[in-house]
Amino acid sequence: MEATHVHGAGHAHGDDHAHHPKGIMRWITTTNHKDIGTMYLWFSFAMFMVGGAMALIIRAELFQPGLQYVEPEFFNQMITLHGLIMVFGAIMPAFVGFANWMIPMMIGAPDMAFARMNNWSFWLLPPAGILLTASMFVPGGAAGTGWTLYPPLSIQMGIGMDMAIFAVHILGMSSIMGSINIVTTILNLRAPTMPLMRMPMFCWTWLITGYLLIAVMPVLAGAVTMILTDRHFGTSFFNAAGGGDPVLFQHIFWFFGHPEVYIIALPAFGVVSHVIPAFARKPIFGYTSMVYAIASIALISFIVWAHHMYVVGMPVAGQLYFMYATILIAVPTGVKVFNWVATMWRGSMTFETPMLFALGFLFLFTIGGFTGLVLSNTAVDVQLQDTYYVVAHFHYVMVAGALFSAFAAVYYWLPKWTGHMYDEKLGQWHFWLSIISFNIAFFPQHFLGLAGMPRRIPDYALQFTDFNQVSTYGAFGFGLSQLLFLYVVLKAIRGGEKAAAKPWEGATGLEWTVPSPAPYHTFEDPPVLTESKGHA
Amino acid sequence: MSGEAVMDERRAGPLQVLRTVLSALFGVRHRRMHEEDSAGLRPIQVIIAGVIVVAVFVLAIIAFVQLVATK
Repeated sequence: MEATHVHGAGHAHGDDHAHHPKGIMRWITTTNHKDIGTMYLWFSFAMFMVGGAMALIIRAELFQPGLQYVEPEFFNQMITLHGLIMVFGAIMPAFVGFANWMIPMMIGAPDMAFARMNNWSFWLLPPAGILLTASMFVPGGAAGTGWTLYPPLSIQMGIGMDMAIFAVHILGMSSIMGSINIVTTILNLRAPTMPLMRMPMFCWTWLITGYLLIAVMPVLAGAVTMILTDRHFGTSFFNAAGGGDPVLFQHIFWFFGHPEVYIIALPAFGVVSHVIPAFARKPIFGYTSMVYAIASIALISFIVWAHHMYVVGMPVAGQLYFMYATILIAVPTGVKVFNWVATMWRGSMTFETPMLFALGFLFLFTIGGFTGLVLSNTAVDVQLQDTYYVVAHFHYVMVAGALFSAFAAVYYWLPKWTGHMYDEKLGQWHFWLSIISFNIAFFPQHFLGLAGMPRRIPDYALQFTDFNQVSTYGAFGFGLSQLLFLYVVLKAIRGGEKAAAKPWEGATGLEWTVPSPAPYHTFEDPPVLTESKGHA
Repeated sequence: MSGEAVMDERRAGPLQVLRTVLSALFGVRHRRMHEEDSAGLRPIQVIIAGVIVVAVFVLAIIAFVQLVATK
């Protein structure tokens, strides 16, 4: 915000830690949004490492045709846990972590609206993560259904499936509580002089994401509960043998699953909408149309779900409906891409690490969006359903989209969190290693999919070998590059060049008016915003 | 700050709300029209209009599908 806030910035209580426990109890009992945000981010990174290790097992097995390292059953478990852990354990908690850290500071609030519930919504996550990872070691192993948990497989699996169901329940509860907290904070705790249409874009994306989560997480919880009762209490919601319908599960799952894509993507859009203006030194182009486009995307995300299931059996009219609706969702998404590009137009740009990741996001997310348009075409999707083309598509959206945006966010806000500048040279190394190895890993998967290689299979025909080997090299490169990220973050926590309150020349917003590192308590009195033409 | 604008008692009519929502779906509009809107629009109006427009949008696609799928 060009607004200069006048008083009330966090200085009153400074770093007064006297009134809360030290050591491990500080983290267990904390109700401070910054502590909880930090825990979310570390949890997310730990899960990212676990899910990443599983991805490397998958890629190692796929390095050559035939079976080398793991049994097919274990391969299926890796596929499933990689998906569940990355979606629910890594990406979603990362953005909740950013929300916890930044939203109160962006809107001039002293903390989240429900501080104790905030603690609870974090501490639900570790048990869920343990349930998921420990399920590998129970008889029958972890769920091997793929992250979509489709019946009839999910009705037949062992106890690992029940653990996955409970994990999804717990993660869902955490998400619902987190989103209620974020929505309430944004609506009720904004500085009195900050109207909604002057709110930072990250808050807007999270406000709308919060509503999406509240709308769809109960749907997923209901679906997995019905699987649970089919498994143990003799119901037949999805069991064809008892008159149930497995396709019903797919409809319910994707009614959750498609908005889930936007639950992940929208906060990523929010981050990029802060980083690009900051390093182009221009206010975001078309703030209002960005807000409206986010709302449109969110609404339309509810009416396109069956484009994930063109081949399960659907009348032509149904296929056409979902195809047209899906193609049309590209309009507001395209608007956002054009707005980011227009923001950079004639800006005085510099290319620090956050900006590099934001540009990487912009470039690669657009590729992922385009392959999504390809897949939205029913006639094409019938050919490409369940091939590696789909795997390539959603990794461009999830990794180059959400994860790159999360990296941009970490580098952008790390000086505010730690009080130190990160090592810019190493940050740039991290970016270039990541973007190159990412493309080596995932771009060839488009070709594999077009050539007909099915996903979720540990073995493949000989003609797919070359591209699979290239992909595996890229995947290992990408995985190892993330260790560099860990090093850069740890280095910035331990020391480094002192960060100014506003280390980025073009950054705007209330979070840059408090000192770096941000004091334990900020904005105990709401700041007063004066003149404001732009937006944070 | 737009404190005065928020307090403004002028209310937007249904047509203006519809125009706002349609331009939101398309994603592009004039700054002048936005400034007129932010003076008179209330969030509840936009939300209700947005849900109605999406419902109409779905019905329109279904109608079009009926048109092309049944010769």
